[in-house]
Amino acid sequence: MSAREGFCGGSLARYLLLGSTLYLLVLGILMVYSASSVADYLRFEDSFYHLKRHVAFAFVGLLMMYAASKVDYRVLRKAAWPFLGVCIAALVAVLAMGSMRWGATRWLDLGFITVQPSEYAKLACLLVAALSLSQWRAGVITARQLTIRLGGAFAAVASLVLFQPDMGTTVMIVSTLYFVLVLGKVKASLLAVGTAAGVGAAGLLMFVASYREDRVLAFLDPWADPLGSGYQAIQSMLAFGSGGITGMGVGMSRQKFSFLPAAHTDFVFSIVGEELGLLGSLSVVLAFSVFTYAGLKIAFACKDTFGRLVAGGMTATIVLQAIVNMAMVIGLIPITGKPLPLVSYGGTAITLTLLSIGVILSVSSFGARSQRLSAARPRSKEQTRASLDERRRNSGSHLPRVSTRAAAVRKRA
Amino acid sequence: MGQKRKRKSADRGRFVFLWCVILIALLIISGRLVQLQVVDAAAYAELATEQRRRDVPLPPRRGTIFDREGEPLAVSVQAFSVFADPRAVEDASSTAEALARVLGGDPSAYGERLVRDGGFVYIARKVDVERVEALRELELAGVGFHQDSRRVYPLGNVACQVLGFVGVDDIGLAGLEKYYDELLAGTPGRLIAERDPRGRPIPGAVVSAEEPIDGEDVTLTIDRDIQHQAQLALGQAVDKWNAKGGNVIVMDPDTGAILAMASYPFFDPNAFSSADQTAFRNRAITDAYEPGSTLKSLTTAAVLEAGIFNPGSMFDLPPTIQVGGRTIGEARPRGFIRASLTEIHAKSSNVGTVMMGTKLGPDALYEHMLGFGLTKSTGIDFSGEAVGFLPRVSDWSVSTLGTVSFGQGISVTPLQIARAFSAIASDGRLPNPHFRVDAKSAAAKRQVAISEETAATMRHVMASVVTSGTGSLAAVPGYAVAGKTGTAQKVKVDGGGYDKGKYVASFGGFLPVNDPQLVILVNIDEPTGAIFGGTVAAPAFAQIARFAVSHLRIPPSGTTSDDVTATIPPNE
Repeated sequence: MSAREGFCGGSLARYLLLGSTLYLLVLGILMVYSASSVADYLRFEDSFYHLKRHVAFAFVGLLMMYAASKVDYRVLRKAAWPFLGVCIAALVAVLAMGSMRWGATRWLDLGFITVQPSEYAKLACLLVAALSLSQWRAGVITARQLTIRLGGAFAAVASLVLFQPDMGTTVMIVSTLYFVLVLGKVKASLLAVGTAAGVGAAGLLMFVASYREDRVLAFLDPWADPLGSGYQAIQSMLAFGSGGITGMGVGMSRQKFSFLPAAHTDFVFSIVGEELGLLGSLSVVLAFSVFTYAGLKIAFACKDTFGRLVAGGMTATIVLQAIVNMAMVIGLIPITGKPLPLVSYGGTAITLTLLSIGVILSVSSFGARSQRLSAARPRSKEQTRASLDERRRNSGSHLPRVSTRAAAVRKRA
Repeated sequence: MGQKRKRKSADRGRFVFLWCVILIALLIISGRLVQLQVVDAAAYAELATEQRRRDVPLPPRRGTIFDREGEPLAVSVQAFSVFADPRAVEDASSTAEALARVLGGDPSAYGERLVRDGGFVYIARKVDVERVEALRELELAGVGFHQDSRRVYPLGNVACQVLGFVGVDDIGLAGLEKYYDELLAGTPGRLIAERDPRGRPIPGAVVSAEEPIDGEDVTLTIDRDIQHQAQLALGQAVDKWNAKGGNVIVMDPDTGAILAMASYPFFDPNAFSSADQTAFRNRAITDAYEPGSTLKSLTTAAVLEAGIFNPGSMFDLPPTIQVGGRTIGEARPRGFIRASLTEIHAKSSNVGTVMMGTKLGPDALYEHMLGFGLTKSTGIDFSGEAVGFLPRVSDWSVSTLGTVSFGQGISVTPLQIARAFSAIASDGRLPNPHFRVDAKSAAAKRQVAISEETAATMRHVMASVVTSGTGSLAAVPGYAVAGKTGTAQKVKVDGGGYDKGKYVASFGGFLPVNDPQLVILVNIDEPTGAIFGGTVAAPAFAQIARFAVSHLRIPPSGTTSDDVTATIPPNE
């Protein structure tokens, strides 16, 4: 039990999490270089253009990860709402004056750097959800307050993102919420209803905007328009097929020669498949499953609800996005334009992902000490809440406030 | 503790649920990866290979055509084809203007092509290197270049009908370019390379390369200087006599090597597409005509060969003669005269020649005409040779014997006449005319037309045409010249009788008489002002001959034609 006291989920989970992260990061550097060097040379006469930037972002990201892992994640409780406020402001700014790229307004040009506020908003939503759910579980807020806060925050962010339009990120935000709700022990029946509603809404939205419809149609039959809407999907499949089992060898991709668009960003996984073959692509899948296992292990071992939800939610955010990206490039779902976390090129994505992993590591470091820290707090009210929280856990998972009161009455009695 | 276990198992349930959801998704992805990379991999890989593989033909260099001294007559030089990818063109109108500035032409014609559907359209083909460089510097989006070659004829219209020209795909369309196309063309190679969607090669991805085999060079017997001079003289004669056209042949009588051949009007093979197509015919080979009086030399030679007469044999010539009810007179009416065979030939007497022909008889005349290779292909290395026409003896009417003997009712090509004259100018055997130095046909057995002795005798008979006959204007100072004038009435286009006032004026001859090294035939078609071969064609002959003997460094005879005639046995 000593390991559990040191790191929640055990030090093995920590190593697995770090190991899979570093594997994906190194693979990403290799593949981004391979995929971008030719185009870079033609465009900038510098085949290292994207590599240099990617490595720089990865380095900054690793520093952020290290720093985050050394700070108690609980500071995020206070940061959650202000962070969301900033994000919503940024999203509004994007709609008002963001820069348009590839038919969507998603980026905010700050002069020295362009940022994608929706990525930050996703994290903000996650933090707010984790905070509110933990507060609800602690009895600080009621179920109704919880519903209003979560509903308000997610509705605001999702609608703003949807307006950009960015269906992919919207779906990611909603799925993350779903994941956090499961982790937060919300009643299974409610979740089932939510699932049905979510799937229905997604289906409806898909047929609202025509560009999405095209993507869906191209997904259903990419060969109907192999040079138009089906082009990316087909080129991606050709890359995987060319790779076969053992791949064409590092740097030997042919599809990167302008056949496959966005080879170093959204479609980097295709280049992995082409150059490293099935072995390479499965290693990525394996790395993400190890990552998930480790992340969930840490989350469930955390004694603090907030920590558990933050760690689990962040693991989910990363893995769900990986699943969406991989499913997209192998033609299982329509093309949505989500990068592969830790592997694809992209400054915002890679630094935020590493920062999130740092937070998960922080949960693994500080989550095991949750009781002692709570006990050390001077205010009795907090203590009461902490013990209430303990009792709530004992009574199992259920929503109503009534039972909370009952438990409190029971305690007083 | 039961509560605690329950909590733990509930936690575990949620953990397992989420873990399973993700695991299932990842397993589905893995399954799809196996499908893509193992099950269907070969098919996808094949499609991927197919889309980047480009089969690029590597054009061989077309062989050069040289003249006998190794001077280039037709060369292939590097050029480029300019093409456009309309989809990649950014500003069609400014691009079209830039193209028109460099390449010439109308901007709207380029503009129309730049907005066409599809990914490839030719802008211009066979553009020279300088202009392509100028275009490259403009860096026009969507405009590309690929290597091509351009056939250049550095001497312009010199030997134009002989050389012919090649089409846009480097295929010989006319002349020797067509005849020797297979030889000149070579074998294209191919480069199977991998290209990106914009056609740029993928480094290190050449699948296979098959080098092209360049075409062979062809060296001709044509002498560019004599050819040039022959065309000059021909053109001047045509101009002077305001004629419709004409042709010229300069040939080595011993070998049959063609030193020059041309038809007027000329054209520039560098710009054949804008030339008059009727100028393309190499009429000295492809067109038969009624030779008229030049044929009298052959009749005379036949008579001498048959041993019926000798050059000094005397004839009593009436003003006209009846042949099968047709009255044949002289070109210039005269009274009764007495003349030798040599004189009859020199003055080109129709009556005298008919008398000789009649004496010889139809069968012998026919046989000798065939012996001179008339109405038979000469076997020259050129496409589209005509063979002329001479009816079989059995089909001859009563008058045919008479008319054939002075060159009517028979059609031949200029080349056939030049070849028959060559037999007289050499050892009595017909040479094999050819253009290519080592043409296969050149080595064929030479047909005997007349005996060596008859040929020698005939040369002296023909020399008197220049010294004391109709061809005095063919004389070349310092050289003994022999030949025969011709003034042939042209047959009506519909074949019914002769076209009044339309003549072909000819002079065919050779020099030096003692050891002839050049046979030259000049035909002027439909001259006006004068019609006689001695007036119209003979000066052109002399002009060409004068240049040729000096150019070929043929030593002067040291005797004039007069001296030669002196050796003719005196009339009886």
